[in-house]
Amino acid sequence: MRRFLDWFFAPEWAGGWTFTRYMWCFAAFLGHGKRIFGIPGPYANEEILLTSGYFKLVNVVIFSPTTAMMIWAGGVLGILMVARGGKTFHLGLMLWFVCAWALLAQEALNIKAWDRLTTWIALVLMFSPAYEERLWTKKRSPAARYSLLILFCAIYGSTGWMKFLNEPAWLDGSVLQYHLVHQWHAGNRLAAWVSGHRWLTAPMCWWTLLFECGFPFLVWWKRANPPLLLLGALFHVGLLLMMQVGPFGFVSLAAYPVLMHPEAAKRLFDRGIRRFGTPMP
Amino acid sequence: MSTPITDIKTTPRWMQPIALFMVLAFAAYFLIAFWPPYGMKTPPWVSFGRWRMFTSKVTTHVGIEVRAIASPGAPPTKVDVDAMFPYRWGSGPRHQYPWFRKRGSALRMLSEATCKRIEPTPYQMTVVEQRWRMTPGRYVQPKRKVKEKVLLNWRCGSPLRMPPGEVW
Repeated sequence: MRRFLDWFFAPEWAGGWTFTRYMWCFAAFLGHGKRIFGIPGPYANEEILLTSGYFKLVNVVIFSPTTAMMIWAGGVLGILMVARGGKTFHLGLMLWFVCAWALLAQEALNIKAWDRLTTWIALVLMFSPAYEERLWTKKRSPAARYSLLILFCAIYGSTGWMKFLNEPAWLDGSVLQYHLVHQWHAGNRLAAWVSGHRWLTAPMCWWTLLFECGFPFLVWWKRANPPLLLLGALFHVGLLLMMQVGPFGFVSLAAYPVLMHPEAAKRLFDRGIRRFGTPMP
Repeated sequence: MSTPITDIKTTPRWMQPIALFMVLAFAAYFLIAFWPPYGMKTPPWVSFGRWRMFTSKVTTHVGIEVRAIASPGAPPTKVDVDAMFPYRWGSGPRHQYPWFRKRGSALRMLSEATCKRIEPTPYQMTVVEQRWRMTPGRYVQPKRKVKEKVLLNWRCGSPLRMPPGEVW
């Protein structure tokens, strides 16, 4: 057991956590920042108060625009504290969580995927070394990285396998033809044009299935890890270009510096240092 | 040139079994969340770890339209609720969200709020669900062969149970 634990907890290069911290802050700000445009609106509106959903907050308190604005500002402050790192990191995560979820509870719709993912990553960040400085000169416990890997195996794996097992239209390419013209999730003229050509949407469907279904197995394999993550990054860039799914792509990509195998990530970092010089603080 | 590693630490030995248990429990949670068959309603604590994104093929646009009836017997006129309540939940107005559409309480709230914003106050609001086929390849989606279903007829000024929360 001792040998297993020594192997399991062998320290790994921790530089990826610094990048993940900043990228998470950027993605969290994209999601939380625009909520200010919903004040008044779903976050401070006495006309349409929804009591369904998981929290039923409006049965206890209804936010005025001033209160909602203060809560929103608290969330932004939390994000800045996370970005700063150090002693403010954990408190910032908790502050962001309380403020963002207070507004979500007031809105009382079901929780969007990017809200959930931002929260799950925040939970892993709480137990990670991301609060430390100069992590590119350090090795730390891999436990938090394993948790992030498990989270993303769950996300990609479950959504991919549900597609493969339950919807045959993913195999003939027709499903994307319709998703790309969805009235609320479709992107733009590019998406509409692509949707009219099944010879394009079919390989896009296959790529999606291969990536999502294969991720839980391939991401643990050192050799396959970097190209797999590159495919994933391209997948999310494609989504950003052609669909409207909120900041989901940015939230997902925030985890990629840590999902990458630490040895590959360090080699990439060292190459970056040789080319660009000074590392960030 | 390789960045020198000057500081090496890992989980303290006494904490390692606990950390291992937590990582395994994390994995077990997501396995449990994945297990229920597709389409099965799951409790909130399971749904939070369940990821189902654009799984099914959807070939129909669905939206709601709100119509005001000025007085008994008058013809209904469309109200632009998208402009009246413009906040977009992610990529669409909140009231167009499927969840909203399926909640009678939400539709009643929307109807009464719309009544109050129209001068003079109409007699009745009608909320109609509309479905029409998607057309791949078209940026501006044609709205043809629309199927309608009345979701709610709401007499303006009807008593509406508001949540009891205190305004802060």
